[in-house]
Amino acid sequence: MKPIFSRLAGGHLDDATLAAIWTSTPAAGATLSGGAADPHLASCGECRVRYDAFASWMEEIRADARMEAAEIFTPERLAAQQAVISRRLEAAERPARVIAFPKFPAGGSGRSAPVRRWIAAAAAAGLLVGVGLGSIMDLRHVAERRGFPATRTVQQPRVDATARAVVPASAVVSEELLLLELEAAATPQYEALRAYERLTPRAADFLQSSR
Amino acid sequence: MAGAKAAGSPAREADGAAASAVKSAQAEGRHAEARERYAELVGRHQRRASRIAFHYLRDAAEADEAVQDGFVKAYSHLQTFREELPFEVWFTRILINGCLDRIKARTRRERWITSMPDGPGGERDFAERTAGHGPSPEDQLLAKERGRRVGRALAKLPDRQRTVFMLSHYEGCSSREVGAITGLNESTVRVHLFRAIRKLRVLLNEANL
Repeated sequence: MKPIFSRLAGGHLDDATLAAIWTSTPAAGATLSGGAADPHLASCGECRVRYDAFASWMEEIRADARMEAAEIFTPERLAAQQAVISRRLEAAERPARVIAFPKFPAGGSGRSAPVRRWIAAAAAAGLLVGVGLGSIMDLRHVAERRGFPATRTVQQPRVDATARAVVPASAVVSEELLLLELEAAATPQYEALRAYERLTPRAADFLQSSR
Repeated sequence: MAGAKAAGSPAREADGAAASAVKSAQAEGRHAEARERYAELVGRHQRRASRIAFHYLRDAAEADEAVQDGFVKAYSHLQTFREELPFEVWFTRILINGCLDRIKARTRRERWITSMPDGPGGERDFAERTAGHGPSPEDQLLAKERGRRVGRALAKLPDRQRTVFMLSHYEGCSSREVGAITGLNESTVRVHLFRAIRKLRVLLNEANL
C-alpha cells in the first residue's frame, strides 16, 4: 500500500495520513510504540497526540460494536439459534415425503398396446353390428308391440286411422259432440242459403253410417 | 479469529478435527453423529458469526436467519471443504456471501421506500475523543447511538471496504486472514481498510452537518 502522506501547515500529518499509518501497522488499532511508521510522527508530539486520539476513536468504535452485538446475542438467544440449526439439519436429512400422483404412462392408459387394440376392434365390431341390425329390424314396431309408444308425438291429437285406434272412447264421444255443435252453429240463419246447406254433407250422417 | 490467529492453534486444530469427523460421519451415513459433532463447530463460531451478520444487516432477527442459513449451508456442503483452509475462514466466506445476498434482496425490496434521514446529534472529531471511562448509563446510551451512527455509515460503504473493515477492525482478523476470506491479497486488504476508514470519517462528519 502506498499511503498518501500529505502534510498540513507546519509539516504536520493530516487525518488521512494518520489513518494510513494506522492501517499499515502490523496490528491495526495498536498505538504506536517507539519508532513510528513515519519519522515526523516519531518526533512530533502534536501529531503523536492526534494519532493516539485517532487510534482511541477506532478502538471506541470497535468496543461499541462489540457491546451492541453482545447485548443482542445473549447466551439464551444463541442457544435458541443453535436449537433451530439442529432442527433444520435434522429436517434436511429426513427423506422427503413423495406425494403419490395418479399414474399416467406415456400411452395415456395403464393397459398394454395389444389389449388396447383388442378393445378398439371390439368397439368397432359392436358399432357395425348395431348399425346392421338397426337397418334390418324396425325397432319402432317392436316397441309398439310391447305396448310402449313409438314416439312422444302421440300425445298430440292425431287424425289418421292408427291414431284413432288408440284414442279412448270418451275422447271420441266428445269429438263427435264437438262436430255436431260446430255443425249446428254453422247452420245458416237465412232462408236463401238453406238450399246450399241441404247440399252440404252433414257430420251426423257420417257418424250414423260409421256406427 | 482473534482467538485463533496462529496457524495450528488449538482452536483451529479442534475445528479441523471436528470438520473431518463430520465429513466422515456424513459419508458413512451416520447422520446423528455428524450433527452432534457439527454442533461443536456451531457452538464455537455462532457468537462471532452472529456479530458479523448483525454488523452487515443491522437487524437481529435477520442476522439470526443469516447465521442459521450459513451453518445449514456449510453443513450440506461440508464435503467440498478442504482441510488446508481453516473452517472459520471457509464458513465466514459462506456467511458473508449470504449476508450480501440478503442486503441485495433488501435493497430491491426497499427501492421505492424513502430512507429516513439521520437523526440529530453530533459526532465529535476523533481528535476530541478520549478513551472511555466507565460504562455509566449515559455512556451506554451514547455508545448505542454512536454504534447506530457508525452502523448506518458502514452500510454506505462498498461491499469490499465494509467487509475488510468489519473483519479487520471488529473481528481482529489479520490482513492475511481477511485476504483468505475475501480472496484479496494482503496489500489490497490494507488499501480497502484505509479507504473504508477515510470514507467512514467523511460519512460521519457529513452526518453531523
